[in-house]
Amino acid sequence: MQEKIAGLIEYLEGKDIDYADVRYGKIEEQAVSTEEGELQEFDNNTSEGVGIRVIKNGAPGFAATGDLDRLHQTALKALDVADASSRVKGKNMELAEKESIKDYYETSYEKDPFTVSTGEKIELLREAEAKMQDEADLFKTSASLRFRRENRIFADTEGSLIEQELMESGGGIEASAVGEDDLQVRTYPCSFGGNHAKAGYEFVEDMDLIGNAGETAREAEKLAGAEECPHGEFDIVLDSSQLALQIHESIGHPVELDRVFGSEEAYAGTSFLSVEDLNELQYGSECVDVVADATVEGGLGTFGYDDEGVPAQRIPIIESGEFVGFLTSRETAVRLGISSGGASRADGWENIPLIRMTNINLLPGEYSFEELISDIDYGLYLENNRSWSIDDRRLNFQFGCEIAYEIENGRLTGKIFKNPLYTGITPQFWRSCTGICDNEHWQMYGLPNCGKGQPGQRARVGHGSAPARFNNIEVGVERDE
Amino acid sequence: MNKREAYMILDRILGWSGKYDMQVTVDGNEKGLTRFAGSEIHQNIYQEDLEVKIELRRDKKRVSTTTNQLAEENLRGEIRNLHRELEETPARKKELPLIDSPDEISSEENDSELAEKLDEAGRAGIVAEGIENLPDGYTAAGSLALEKGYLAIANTRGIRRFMSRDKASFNTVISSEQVEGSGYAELEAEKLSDFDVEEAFAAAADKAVDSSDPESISPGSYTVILEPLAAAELLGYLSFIGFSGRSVQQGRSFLSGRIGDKVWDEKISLYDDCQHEQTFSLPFDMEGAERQSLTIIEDGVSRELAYDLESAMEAGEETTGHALGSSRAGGIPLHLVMSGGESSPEEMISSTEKGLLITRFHYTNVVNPRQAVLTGLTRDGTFLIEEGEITNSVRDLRYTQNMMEAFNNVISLSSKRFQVPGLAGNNYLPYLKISDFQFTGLTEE
Repeated sequence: MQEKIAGLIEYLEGKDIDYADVRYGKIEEQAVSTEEGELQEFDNNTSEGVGIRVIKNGAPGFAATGDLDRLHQTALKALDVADASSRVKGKNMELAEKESIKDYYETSYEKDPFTVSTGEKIELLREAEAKMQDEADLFKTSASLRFRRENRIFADTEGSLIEQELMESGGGIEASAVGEDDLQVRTYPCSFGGNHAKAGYEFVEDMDLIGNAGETAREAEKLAGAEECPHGEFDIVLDSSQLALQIHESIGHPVELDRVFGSEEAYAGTSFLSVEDLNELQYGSECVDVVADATVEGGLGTFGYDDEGVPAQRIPIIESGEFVGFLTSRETAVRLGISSGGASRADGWENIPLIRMTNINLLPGEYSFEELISDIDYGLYLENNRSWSIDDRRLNFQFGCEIAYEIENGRLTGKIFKNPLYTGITPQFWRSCTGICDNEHWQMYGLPNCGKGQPGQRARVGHGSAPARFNNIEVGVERDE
Repeated sequence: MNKREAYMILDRILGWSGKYDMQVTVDGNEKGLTRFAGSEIHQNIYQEDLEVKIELRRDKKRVSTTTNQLAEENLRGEIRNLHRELEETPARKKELPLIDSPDEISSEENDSELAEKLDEAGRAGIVAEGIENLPDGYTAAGSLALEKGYLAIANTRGIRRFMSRDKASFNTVISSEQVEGSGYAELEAEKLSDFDVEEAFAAAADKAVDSSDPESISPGSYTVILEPLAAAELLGYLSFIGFSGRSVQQGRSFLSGRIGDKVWDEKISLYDDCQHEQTFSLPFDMEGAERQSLTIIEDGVSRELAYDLESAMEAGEETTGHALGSSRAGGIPLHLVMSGGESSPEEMISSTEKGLLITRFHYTNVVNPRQAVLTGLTRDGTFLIEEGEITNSVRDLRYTQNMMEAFNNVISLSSKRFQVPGLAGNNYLPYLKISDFQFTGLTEE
């Protein structure tokens, strides 16, 4: 395939263009899920094709095909599309400088999930479900696994030729219990399909779905009979899985430089940030340090090179609370006169790369969990996301969680509440952060379904964090009668 | 791809089924999409792909695979893998049947004029014209797309299905760097005569100008007038979380235990109807079942749910032909049609002492499915109504609202209804006036 792609690059070089890149991809996915002990799905999906991006007369064009016998026709289509783009063009499209690279990169893993037998995977899920059903009075149980292997080849007219082999594994379990006109759900290790990583089947084994099934089930049952979460202004502590989404929505998206420049205005929206905020805005409190790290071992947003052939990097985003960096692509970085931060990523061969998160990580602090909650008079410890919503400039957010544990006089009381909900304004919220747990509590969560772009693309991103404390946060919603 | 070519692929693969039950789906599309922002084209793409899904069943077991590599050697290899996986798969309690009637459903809705006008050069020309006509100081962002899709299904019980569709879609946000406020318009159509991008650009521009210099208002309870796009957002989510048999079976639905009860105001009648001339015709679902029309809510009373094969079997019902292709999703109504009322948008405004006119919602999500609590934000045109007149635009607000209460608080519906894009083609909905809609937050520091 490398030869075919190199031939295509040579063909495009003869077409009076400013730039071209060609991306080949072969994606193999497997989804296994059970519900009430029965196999719900065992689906395999393989997709293979080539996407060709060109800049001609300063205007962009892109064409993709799954028919590997139509590569030259597809290249010509990309040129036609660029010609059309040039009819409604402002400044010429330019790309930030980068090195020409020839390299091979692969995810390190111990156990290829595609070689683990069908029966073993199904049995794991059924055992985890049986354990949940044995331990509590539940309405429904379910469990799922997802695996993905992607072979990518990138070549461009600047001389790069890069091949990558990426492997992902993940899964989780879910228990639901019915209370009075209410359904409560508890998941492990996190909601909406569980946790995912760039890793092999060992990641699934390490999650110990069966070992954690009992507690998950018992908490679901308790939640069904729990009190509603109180409404008011409280100190809250978020666990790493909820923090993953908090970071994602209120830091990851607003620091995407294409949103700042308005490229996503008609769909996902823009950002409350402007270029002038760089090195000026106090985004959070002094204990907030955030990096975009595409190099961290096992992160779902980890890779060797992005889809413009830029090496994976660790970029500071927030340092001691100060906003210091955007997520960038070549096309956006050049407008700031900097090199790309390597965050230009495409959902498969058929889509153009957009600025996407890599692993946006909140760095650990110095507290043990006991120390973190020790000076909270009355507060709540919230785990696992249940719902999320944020405005188009990424200021007003509202999150629901599965469970709230009561904190009183610096200790967990053992009491739980159902339907916890909290809301805030992004910079105010992050400025209220008064403590983060230490490295021992730091954990990565992978989100495989971050949506952006038209046509819609899904990105696979990661977020690492340790439980963090936020003071005086509005919990619940006030109802105006 | 035409019907004959699609059936040839299906027949070739079914010929390798041996002693197994097999269903094969061919799903292809060709898409051109032009994106613009800051009044220039910044992304412009063409995609083509053709996938085949093969589902193998035997002895209450089933497995499936999807591939876009259609060489015989590859497809036979996929089927061999399915045989092996089927052996290792546990049997289910009940056999899930394949659809076996009617023998054939075929539908082709291709407007050649639409395809001619919306190639990459045509799309660029339409965008250029729309941008040229913007008010001074305003820029446009959005997308203009043409998708040519085809879907064919056949199985070892002898059914054949073929559908070919061309769909055009457009959306735009119009805004200004100098003035706060924005406007929005969106449309989808299968025919060029229904696809007036010029009018949509103009409507969004008018809305942008009208919504300039918004004021902040306090969150709280307001009477709202929902334009059809805003109503479609709420109903689309309710459809997904509550109008399916599977969501009721899973206990997630706000209709769990309430079928046959009066759940909404009696002014509300809501249907799912893919045959309605104002929606898109999708005559069969992803399982090959003929799509039925549904009476979801009749005069406020909950009547019928959407089923796929599996959820129908569990309920002891027949499938209604609403499968999306994954049994985890169940059957979802996609073509919502609401009966109109007797009012008009003008009457709704003039009869409002204090309220909000809402163009659309953004980032709606489910807070509590069982209680039908949704949250989200207003966007691209929210207007304050005082003493029967629009007095100003307002900054966006967050709502958090129990929708069972909201649809019981319906004051009036417009007699005129509008096509608005939904989950798969157009819905057909009126304006809705609702009292006591709960706004719970501001979108500013």
